[in-house]
Amino acid sequence: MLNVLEDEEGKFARASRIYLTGSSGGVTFLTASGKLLGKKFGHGTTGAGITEALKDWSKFPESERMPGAIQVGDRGPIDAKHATVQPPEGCLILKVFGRYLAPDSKNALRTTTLLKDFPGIVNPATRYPGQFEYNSEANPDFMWLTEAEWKSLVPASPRNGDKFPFPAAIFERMCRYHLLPNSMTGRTGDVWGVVGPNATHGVRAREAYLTVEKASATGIHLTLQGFVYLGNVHDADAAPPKSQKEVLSALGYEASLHGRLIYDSAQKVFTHFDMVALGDMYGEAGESTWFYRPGRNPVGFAFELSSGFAPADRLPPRGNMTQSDLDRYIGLPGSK
Amino acid sequence: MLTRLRIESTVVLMIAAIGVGAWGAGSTAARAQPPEKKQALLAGMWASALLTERFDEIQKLIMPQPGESRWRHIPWQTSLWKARQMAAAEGKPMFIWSGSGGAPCAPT
Repeated sequence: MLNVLEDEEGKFARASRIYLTGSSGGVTFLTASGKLLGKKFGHGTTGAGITEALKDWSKFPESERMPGAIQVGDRGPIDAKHATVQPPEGCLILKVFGRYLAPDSKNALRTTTLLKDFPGIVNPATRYPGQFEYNSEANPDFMWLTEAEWKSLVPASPRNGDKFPFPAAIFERMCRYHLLPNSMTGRTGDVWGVVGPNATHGVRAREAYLTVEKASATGIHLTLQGFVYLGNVHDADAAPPKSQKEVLSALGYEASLHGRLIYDSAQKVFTHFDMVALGDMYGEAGESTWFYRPGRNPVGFAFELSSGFAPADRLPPRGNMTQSDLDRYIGLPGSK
Repeated sequence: MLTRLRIESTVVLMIAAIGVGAWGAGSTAARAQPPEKKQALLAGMWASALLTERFDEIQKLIMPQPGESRWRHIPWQTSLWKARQMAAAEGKPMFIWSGSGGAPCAPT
């Protein structure tokens, strides 16, 4: 939001000409007073880029480099319309990781590598070593549950074996923001109406239940079981897609959900919130067919509690949200 | 900066035993279903069986592996202004990674 932020932080970012565009971002080296060091880089940088920036830094006079030499005051009033939101009071933060998986030779699962599992990206990945590997690594995200929402997961009078539906508001949000099978390849927003927040028909079916496994004076152990069918129906007999449109029309994700939640009755908090979605993805949504894999291929998402203590753990869902984005996230249509 | 994953052979072998059983069970139950439903059922069953038996291993497989995406271990600041204040107080330059999707700490 720095490019449109109308407060001192936004003005500083634009005046110092830091790298501001692109979903995977860019790297800039800067002094506290706003002077550029070395070169700017789209995507990541290398050790040589850092060395060059530090060399530039060493040429600055001590009046700029000494601790406390530059004074940076308060930021002043924040542009609340464009600023990145902070977690609401009482919010429960889940850390989410998505990953492309593949069956191994023994029908078990393994992680993927670009050169072995993604034929469409072999050429660019070979030409630019190290530039794309993160796409086959764990892709991070954050899911937020309001205080009222996470409290709705706690049964008032739990008895072993009690079963109740996973709340629709949480489930719909999970489907449309956090179980996006394309998210590992950097498509952070809607996927042109196939899956995602704007895909009103993107959730073909979903069903999940929480079951009380163990209820005692000290706490409640819950298990979650269910499934989701997202995006389009898979056509196993269809010819391989040749265009972006065809690739998009083939996109979908069908997964099982399992989870284990533990609520501490004394502290009145969840101490465990482990959930996994595992299933098949087909098609590939994006600007190219780089990450298209023929047929159905396993994709998994893992959820766990986050302390939210570190600044990076307090980033909003999908990494970037204003207050209006958050209002929509919380009150997503179809969540009733 | 980016590293290739290494999977411990013991973990793979443990999953393999369940994986074979899960796919086998799914194929029997789905035989009488229409093609599309059959495929979905097959997908659901292998995944559900695997998660029932090996939840912890699957969760661990999806999460970051040792040595992977090491930049995420950096204690990033997410406020440029706060980072400025820290850099000024400590007499250090700033390394800024900015992107529209919250990179590098969020979806890329």
